[in-house]
Amino acid sequence: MTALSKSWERAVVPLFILAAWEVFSRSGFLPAALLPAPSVVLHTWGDWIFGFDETSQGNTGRWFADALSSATRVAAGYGIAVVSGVLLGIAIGWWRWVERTVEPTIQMLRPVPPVSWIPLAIIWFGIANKPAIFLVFLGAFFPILMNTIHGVKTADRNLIRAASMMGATEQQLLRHVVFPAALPSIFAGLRIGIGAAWMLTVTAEMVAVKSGLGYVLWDSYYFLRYDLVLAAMASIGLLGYATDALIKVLMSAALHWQHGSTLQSREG
Amino acid sequence: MTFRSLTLTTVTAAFLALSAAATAPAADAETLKLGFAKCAHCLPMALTPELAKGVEIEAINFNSGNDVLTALVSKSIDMAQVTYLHYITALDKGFDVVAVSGQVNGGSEIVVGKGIALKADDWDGLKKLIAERKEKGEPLRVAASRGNAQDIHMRGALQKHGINVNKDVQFINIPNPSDHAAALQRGEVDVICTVEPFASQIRQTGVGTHFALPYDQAAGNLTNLIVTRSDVIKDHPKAVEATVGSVVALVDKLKSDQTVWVDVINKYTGMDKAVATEALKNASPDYAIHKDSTLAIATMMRELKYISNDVTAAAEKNLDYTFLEAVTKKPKSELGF
Repeated sequence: MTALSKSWERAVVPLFILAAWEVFSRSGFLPAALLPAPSVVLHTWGDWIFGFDETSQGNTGRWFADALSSATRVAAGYGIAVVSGVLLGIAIGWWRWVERTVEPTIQMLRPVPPVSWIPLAIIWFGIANKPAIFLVFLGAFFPILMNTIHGVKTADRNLIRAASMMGATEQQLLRHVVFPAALPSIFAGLRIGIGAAWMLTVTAEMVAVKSGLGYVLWDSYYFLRYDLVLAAMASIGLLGYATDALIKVLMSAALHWQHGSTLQSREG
Repeated sequence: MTFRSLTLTTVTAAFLALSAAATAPAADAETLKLGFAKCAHCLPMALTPELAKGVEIEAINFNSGNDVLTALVSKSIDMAQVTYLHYITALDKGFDVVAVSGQVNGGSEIVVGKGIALKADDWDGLKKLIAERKEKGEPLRVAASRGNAQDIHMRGALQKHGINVNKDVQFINIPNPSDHAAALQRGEVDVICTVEPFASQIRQTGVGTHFALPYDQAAGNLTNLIVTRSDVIKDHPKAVEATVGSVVALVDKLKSDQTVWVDVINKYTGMDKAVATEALKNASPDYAIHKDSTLAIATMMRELKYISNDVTAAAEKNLDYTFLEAVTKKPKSELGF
C-alpha cells in the first residue's frame, strides 16, 4: 500500500465528520452560533493564531502564547508525574514492604477525580500556575504509576534469576534487567498519562491563570463563544496528538529490541 | 374465573388506574422546564413548582448560569433563570432570548483581605493605596469572576470613583467564585468582588472584611432575570404567563419570609444557615425588569469588549412585559420599563 493511500485512509473519517458537521450547521436545525460550522471555527482559529481580523476579540493573535502556557504547565506536571510515577512504581513493584505500606493509600487516592482537588490545590499552592501544574500532575501520575508497577511485576523471572546467578547486585538487577523489562508497560503508562495531562488543562486552567488553551476555552464559554470553545478543544486535541506521537518515537527508539518481533513493528 | 385470569385482570386494572393518575395533571396543565443555577439568589427557583397555578413546572438545577443558558438556547429547557449579562451575551450571539420577569437582585460585595486596612466605603483610602502600590511597582491585585454580574458591578463602581481596572490595578480572573475565599486567605489577591453566599462566608470566617456594595453605578444592583424563547411564548403563552405568575408569587414570598429561602439554600448546598441568613441581607427579590440599567449593562459590556455588537436596541425590544403586566395587573411603567 502506498504512503498516499495510507494518508487517505487516515483522512476519510475526519473529513466525513467535518463535512457532515458543516452540512448540519448550515441546515439551520440549530442556531448557527450554537453549533458553529467547521469553516467558522477554522476562521476564528485562524484569527486566534495569526490575528488577521479580531474575530476572536481579545484573543486575536495570541494562540502561540496560549499554547506555550498550556504546554509549559503540561510539561511541568507531566515531568513530575513521570519521575515520581516511575520511581515509586518500581519501588512498589520490586519491594514488598513498599507495596504493603504505600499501595493502599495510592489505591484509595487513585479514584478521586482530579477536579475535586481544586479547593485543596488552592489552599496548598495558591492560584495561577502551581495548582494548575499540581492538577496536571495528578491526572498523569496514576496511569504512569500503575503501568510501571505492572511492568515491574510482570518482568520475566528467568531473566532476573540468570542475572542473579551471574552475580548482579540488586541495583544492577533493577537498572539492567527489571527497568528495561518494564519499559513497554511504562511507555503504555506514559502514553495514557500524556493524554490525561492534556485532558486536565481545562480543569487546571480554571484556577485563576491568565492564559492557556483551557483558560481561553473556559472564558469563551462564559461569553457563549462556542466557535472559540471548539477551536480550543481542537487545539488541545492536536497538541495532545503531537505529544503522543513524540512519545511513540521515543518508545520506538527505546524499545529497539522489539523491532520485528511485535505486531506494532509489523504495522509500521 | 381462574387464578391466572384474575391476576391478569387485577394487574391490567392497576396499570390503567396508575396510567390515568399519572396523565391526569398533564391533561389539565402544560409542563414547562425551568432551569436555574446554583447560587444563593438562584436556588429559591426550586420553590416555583409548588407555587405554580395552571402550569406544571419542572425545575432543573444546573451548576452555572452558562449551563442554564446553553440548555435554553439549545431547546433542552423552556425557561431559564440567568443573569442580565447572560441575556446581553445571548443577544450579542444572535440567540432568540426574551426576558419575561426579574427575580432577585443584589448579592455583590467588595471585600478586602486581612492585610488591607481600609474602612468601609473609604474610596479615597482605596485610591491612595492604589497609587502607593502603583508607585512601588506592586499594583493592587483585584479579583472577580470575569463576565459575571459582580465583575460588571465592580468595574462600574471602581470606574465611578476614577479607578480604571485595566490600568490602575492588576486584575485577576478567578472563574469559580467558590475559589475566592481561598485566594484571599492566602494573600494571593488584595481585593475581591464576590457573590453571596461566598461574601458572607469570607466575612464570617475572618478571611476578609467588607469594603463596599458596588451598586452605585449605571448597572445598579441588577443580577437575575427570567428568560425564555419566542417559540415558547408563541406555542405556550398561557404556560409562560403562569410561570411568570409563580415567579411573582415566589418574589412576594421571599420578601415576606426568608426562612424558606434559607432552608432551600441549606438543602441544596448544605451551607450553614447562619451564613445563608447573612447572605440574604444583600439580596433584593424583585420581579421588575429594569430597562435603563439593562441597557447600561449592554453598553458597559460593549465598552469592555465582552460583546462585539451594539445590542441595546435588541435588548430593549426583547424585554417582554406582557406577562408581568397580566400577572401583577400593573402597567409596565411600574415594572421597570
